[in-house]
Amino acid sequence: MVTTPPVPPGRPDEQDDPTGIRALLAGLGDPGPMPADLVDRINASIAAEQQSRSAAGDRTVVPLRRRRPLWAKVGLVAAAVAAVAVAVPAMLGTGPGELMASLSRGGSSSAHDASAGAAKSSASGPEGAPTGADSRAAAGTGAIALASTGTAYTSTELTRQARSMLSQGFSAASSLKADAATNPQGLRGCLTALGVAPWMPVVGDVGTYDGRPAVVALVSGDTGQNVYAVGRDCDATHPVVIAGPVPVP
Amino acid sequence: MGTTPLHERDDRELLRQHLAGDPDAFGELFRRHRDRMWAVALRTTRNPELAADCVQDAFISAFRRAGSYRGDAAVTTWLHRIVVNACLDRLRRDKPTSPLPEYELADKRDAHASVDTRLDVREALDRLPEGQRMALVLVDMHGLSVLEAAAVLEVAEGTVKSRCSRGREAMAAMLRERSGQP
Repeated sequence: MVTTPPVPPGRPDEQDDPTGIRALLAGLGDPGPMPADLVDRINASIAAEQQSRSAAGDRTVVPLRRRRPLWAKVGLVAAAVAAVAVAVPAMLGTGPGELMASLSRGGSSSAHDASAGAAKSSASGPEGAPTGADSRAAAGTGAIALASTGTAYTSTELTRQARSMLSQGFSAASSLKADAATNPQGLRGCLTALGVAPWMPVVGDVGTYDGRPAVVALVSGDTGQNVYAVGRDCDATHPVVIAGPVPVP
Repeated sequence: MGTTPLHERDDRELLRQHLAGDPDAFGELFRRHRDRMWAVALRTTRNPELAADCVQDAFISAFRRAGSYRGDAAVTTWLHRIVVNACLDRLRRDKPTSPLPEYELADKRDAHASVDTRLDVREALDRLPEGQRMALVLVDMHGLSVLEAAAVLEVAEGTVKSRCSRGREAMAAMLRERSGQP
């Protein structure tokens, strides 16, 4: 026998329903609250959106408390320039020598020549034109290297996995899909849209994050490293962040 | 206004503050409405993974398109519209590769009749045309008024009423047919 649950309380019965279907549908149950991991994911996306708007100088939303980007702080410039040239490769760990050498050059050369010159148009700082205090922004785009190992990254192991990214093999650019975050240029555009300064060196890996197709990107800034998990379709006009920035200790 | 705690501001004010650049206002809107939006996404897609992607896309879209809110409906109605459209777009896009699961209609004599009846109801709902299905999801399952559902679906009130009515009759016929009733 089919049990007919009552129409939910507090709702006036706006329509006669001789079929009883309305009550059956109402009795299918509530899905419950949004899962915590999804709440975190969307909060991260909203934070990235906010950061992106501020960084892009979007006048649609004018921040009430405009925050100067960390990398633009006067006094950190010298240390930051050194970070690009010297410290970043050291922080990145014990990766292949070729990659380290590439990143330490701080230019657009990388494991993928296809990334050369990528995002040059976005080389200006988040506040618009590069400031005189930040020579890095004016120097051009940071190195970006992209692997496609298919690693299954997880939210619980992300920072550990990010640190070991460099020990994994790097595939040829030609095997990677163009025009999205699985392409060095697309990944750079994606990260720039998320507020990552164009000069920051990036090591990316195409895999999955908590079972979802993703590109995990390790970004080195002047105050340390952060890891992002972005959608494979993330690009400059459609920034899709799944997680991050997560500081890598 | 600026000193009013976030949780005491109404939705419209939060959206205005977001447009004015308040970095926390949209987060409060998300906190306030996330469970309802999750519920409607799940009820629309019936797939938790898909619903998660849709509701995330929808909130980011709402963040970016806050300026498109004209104030002629409640903010929650506007959010519902964005979420439902995100779900329907995704379902239409994914349809060729992810068909709805095929359920066997339940035998009412089975010991698990109540569970099976739920499957029957869900399957019957899935078989409805999209317009009728969404009207029933919003009105009968999600508890929106006909007026609110009309605003979400961007159709006339009368259209929602007739879609609900036709949808219920079609579902009743499907369930009667299965149970062998005339």
